[in-house]
Amino acid sequence: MNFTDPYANAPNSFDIPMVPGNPPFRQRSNRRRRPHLGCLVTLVVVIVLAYASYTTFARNWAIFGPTSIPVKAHPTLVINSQRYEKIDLPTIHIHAGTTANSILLQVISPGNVALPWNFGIGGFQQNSDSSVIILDGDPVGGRQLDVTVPADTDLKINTNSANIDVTGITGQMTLIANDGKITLTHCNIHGTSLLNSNTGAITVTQSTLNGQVTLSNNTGPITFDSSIGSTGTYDLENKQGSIEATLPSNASFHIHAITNSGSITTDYPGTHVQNKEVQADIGHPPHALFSLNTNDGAITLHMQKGA
Amino acid sequence: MLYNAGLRRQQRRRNPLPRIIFLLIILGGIGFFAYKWQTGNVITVDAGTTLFIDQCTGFVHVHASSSTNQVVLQGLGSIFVPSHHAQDSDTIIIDGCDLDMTVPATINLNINADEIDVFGVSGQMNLTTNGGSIVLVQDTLKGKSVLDNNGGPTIFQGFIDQAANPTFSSNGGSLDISLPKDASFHLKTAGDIDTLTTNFPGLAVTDNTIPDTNIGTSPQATLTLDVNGSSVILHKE
Repeated sequence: MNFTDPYANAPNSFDIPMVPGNPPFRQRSNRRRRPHLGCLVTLVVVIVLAYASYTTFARNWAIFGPTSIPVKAHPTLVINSQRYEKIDLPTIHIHAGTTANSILLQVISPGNVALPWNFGIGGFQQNSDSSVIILDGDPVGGRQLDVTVPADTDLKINTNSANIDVTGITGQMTLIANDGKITLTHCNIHGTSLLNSNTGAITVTQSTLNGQVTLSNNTGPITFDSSIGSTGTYDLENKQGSIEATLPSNASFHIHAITNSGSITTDYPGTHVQNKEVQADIGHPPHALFSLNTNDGAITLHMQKGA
Repeated sequence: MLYNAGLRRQQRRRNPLPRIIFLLIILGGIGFFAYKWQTGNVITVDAGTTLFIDQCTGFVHVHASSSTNQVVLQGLGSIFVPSHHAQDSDTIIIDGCDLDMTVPATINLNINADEIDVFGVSGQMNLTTNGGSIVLVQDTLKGKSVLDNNGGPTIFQGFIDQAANPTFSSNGGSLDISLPKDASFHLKTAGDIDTLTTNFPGLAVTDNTIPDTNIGTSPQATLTLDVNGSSVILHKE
């Protein structure tokens, strides 16, 4: 069935007789079109305003991820994480990227999915030359704050319950956790550095320490399987927890291990336990000072196998 | 014809003027807030002023600016933050929190907040947090400055004026202090240190404290560490 509009050529709607039985099709059609146009215009205005606001004012918000922060070479990254969680501890994972002039923040879900927002991550602060970046990082619910930094970066991370996981970074480090674990892998620690936890484990593997470095714990264990420079001071201290240290066979150091009421075991050649204390010079001078100290915890000293 | 008349009345009701006025008011409001957001809440101060912020349950971020007499509170939330002069003193009191502000490069700060960051400021600073972080970058401490974190972390990378007597106080927290390699000061310690990590020669913990020590030549500043089971890092740049 074909329908033919008898008023298709009418110049305007007022030419259509407005009588019952002859409904003003065109007028009704116009009435509907205007709101659509208004909605469209409003939508465009809102989008433009939102985009302008974001680009003008909210560029530095870290709520949308991933967030890239331009930095000077060899920057210092400060992260403060104050949130306390008993279960599903979040993790701050810091690893080296390929660029020397940017830091990339990304929140990753417990299911290992990168999220398009950075909930729990506050804005960041930086000094005038972008050599120091301060970030409030409180990932929630077992999520991970994934931070990609230049390979040469100084780190100052302070967390309440978040774990700290650092891979492949060279620089000075102050890593302090209350309940969280501190794990370093393939790192090169330079300068005056501290790894301190209250109850979390501290684990340093396949890394190198140079300078003055302290690993300190209250009740959590300290596991050290890395190398140390031929000079410098390296202190591993634990009150209630254990210390297990493994050094290469070619290391040169003066060992001083002592415990109050714990135990000391060593299979490192040239070392002997006497009255809960070990004192020995290992290798050729100069000797780094390698100190192991516990109150109640066990001290174990090994030589790396195959090293 | 009756229908046509009704239609004209309907079209008169759609007079766009009110909508345009309403839209202009909205846009004007947005423009006002955008302008205030960009320019900030400007407070004029005199030289030697002390900026006072108390009982802030949030953050205070302070950056030095090139202005010598303006404190600018930035961000939309700071537009209507009130401030006033304290009577008979050079103190500006800001009754606000969660503040991002720029200040003259030389100004005294007296801030009590959950978290404090200060960049590039020179002056006497009394900064207090209750377990929160205090971070000072490229600052110069003058006079009897006191940084007290009560269990939180304090990070200081800056300078100590030769005539200053600053105190870093930490009740179980950590003190991470980086000073220039030519820094000269007299070091005093009160209370028990948990760990000391330092590359300043001659510093060591004896009986949970550091004996009074002179660092550098002709030290004039006195740096006091007031600690209670705290971890201390004293780093020579």
